[in-house]
Amino acid sequence: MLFKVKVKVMETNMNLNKIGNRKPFTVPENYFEQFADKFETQISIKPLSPIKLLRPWLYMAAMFMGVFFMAKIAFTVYNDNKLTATENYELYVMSQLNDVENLDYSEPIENENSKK
Amino acid sequence: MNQTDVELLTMLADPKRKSLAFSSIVRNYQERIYWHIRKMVLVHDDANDVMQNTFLKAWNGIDSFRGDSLISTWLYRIATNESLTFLTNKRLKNLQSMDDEESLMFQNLQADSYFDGNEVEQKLQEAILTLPEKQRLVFNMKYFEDITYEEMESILGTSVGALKASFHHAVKKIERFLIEEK
Repeated sequence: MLFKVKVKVMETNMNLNKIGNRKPFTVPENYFEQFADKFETQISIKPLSPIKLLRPWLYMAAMFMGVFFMAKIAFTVYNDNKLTATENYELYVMSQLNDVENLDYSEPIENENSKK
Repeated sequence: MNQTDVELLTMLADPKRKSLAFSSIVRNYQERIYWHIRKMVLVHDDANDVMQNTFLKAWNGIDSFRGDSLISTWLYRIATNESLTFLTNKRLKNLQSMDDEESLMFQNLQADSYFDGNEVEQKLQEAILTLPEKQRLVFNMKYFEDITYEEMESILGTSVGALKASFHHAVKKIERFLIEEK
């Protein structure tokens, strides 16, 4: 019985209503005044430099230049590849004909008539 | 939106008076925001850092604030997120388990020269540290700041019913902890 009473008393003392809601924290003296002053200094508006104003336009110009050069390189490579393919084809065709065959075709017809 | 908020929003929209308006906001709300943060991070130096980040974030985002909530609600939201981010980063830095993190925070609290709680208040803070972070938030906001559940709902994005249940469970856990620890 005594034990039950003791527990009840403990529970009552540990009830949050008994403890209260005081905040057990403090701050340095003049903390809030100084915080506000410091923050005001931090956010004071400074005039933007011309470079900062132009920066977005410079980024856009650089981007377009990059796209232009990439396109130019791609087009040049494509053209070069096309030319190389044509040259290669011509070389291929010529390689299929040997020198003797070339000579036969180049002799005039009258030579055949004289042999007869 | 209250009258002060309307006046402040008007000033904020004017580039010449924007800084002045924001200074007003800092001076009006800094104490409430500070104590909200301090109850989560416990130590003054940490609370100071988090509060600076909070108001800096607010300043950088002020142009996108449309007045769809009270300025105080908006600031509380930023402060809450900054506090939770701070605690997460601290936990990652320490690379310790949740239990160790609580003990470490309590030790830091006891060592903080800006803590003047008596024995029972110390025990209460130790008990609060055993709660999950979101529940700690709810408990602190209700118990110490007496914020209404409706305002809490705007700040935390949790329903009133869930907040009431969370607070009720938090109270039970804390009281059980205090009795067992005694």
